[in-house]
Amino acid sequence: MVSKILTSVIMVLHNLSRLIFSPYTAMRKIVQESDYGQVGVIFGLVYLYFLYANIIRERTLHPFIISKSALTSFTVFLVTFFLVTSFFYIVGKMLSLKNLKYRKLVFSFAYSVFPALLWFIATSTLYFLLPPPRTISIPGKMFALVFSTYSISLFLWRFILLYLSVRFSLKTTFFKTIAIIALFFIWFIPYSFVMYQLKIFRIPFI
Amino acid sequence: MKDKVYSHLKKRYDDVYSITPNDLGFPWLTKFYKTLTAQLKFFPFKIFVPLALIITVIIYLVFGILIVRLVSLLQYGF
Repeated sequence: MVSKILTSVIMVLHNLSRLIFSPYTAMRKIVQESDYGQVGVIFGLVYLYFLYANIIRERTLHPFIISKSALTSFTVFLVTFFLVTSFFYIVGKMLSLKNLKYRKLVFSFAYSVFPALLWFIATSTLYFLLPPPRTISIPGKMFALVFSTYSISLFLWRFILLYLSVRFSLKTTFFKTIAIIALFFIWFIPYSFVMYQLKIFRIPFI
Repeated sequence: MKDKVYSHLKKRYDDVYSITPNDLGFPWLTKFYKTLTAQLKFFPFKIFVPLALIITVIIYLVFGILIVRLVSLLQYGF
C-alpha cells in the first residue's frame, strides 16, 4: 500500500517535470496512464491546497472552520472536474471518435490542474507575505509587473495543456480541437461567473 | 536482439503516430504551425516568459497603473 502510494507520488513528480520541460511527449504518455493512484495524489494535493488557502484566508488554525470550508471548495472542484471531463467525453461520443476512453480525459485533465495549483499556491503565499492592495509606488509597480508576467506565463502553460489534453484524449485535429475548446468556454465562462457569484471560486480552479 | 529493436521501433512509431499529423489546409499555414509547435514542444517557458513580459509591458503602457489594481484584485482571487 505504502509502496504503491510512493510509486504514484514519484510518477506524479516525474510527469510534472516532463510537463514543464516537454509537455507534448509528457501528455502523450499521460493519456496512456492507468495508475489511478496518481489522480489520487493530485487530488490530495488540491485538497491540501484548499486547507492551506483557508488557513491563510481565515487567519486561523481552527480545525472545524478550515476543514469545513476546504471540504466545500474541494467538493465543488470535484464536481467541476467531473463536469469538464464529462463534457469532453460527450462531445467525443457525439463526434463518434475512435478509441475514446474516459480514463484518458481523467488523467490528462488531472495533470492539467498543475498550472492552476501552482498559481493558487503562489498567490496564497504572496497574500500572506505581501498582503494586497498594491500601491502605485515603484516597488508596487515592480511587483505588479512580476506577478502579471508570472500569471500570464502560467495561463499560457495552462492553455497549452488544455489543448494537448483534448488533442491526445480525443485524437482530434487542430481545428476540431480548437472548436471543441471554444464550445467548452461557451458554458464554462457562465459557470465560472456563477461560482464567483456564489463566492466559491473567485478565479476558476481547473 | 532484432526482436527487441523491432519492438522498440514499433512502440516509438506507434507513440509518434498515435495521432494524425496536423494539416491546416494551406501549406504555409501548416509550415508556420509546425515551426511554432516545434518550439513549444521543449521547455515552452522559453517562449511563455518573454511573451508574458511583452504582454505585461503592453498592458502597462496602454492601461497604466490599472495593472496595479488588477494585480491587487488577482491577489484576492485565491
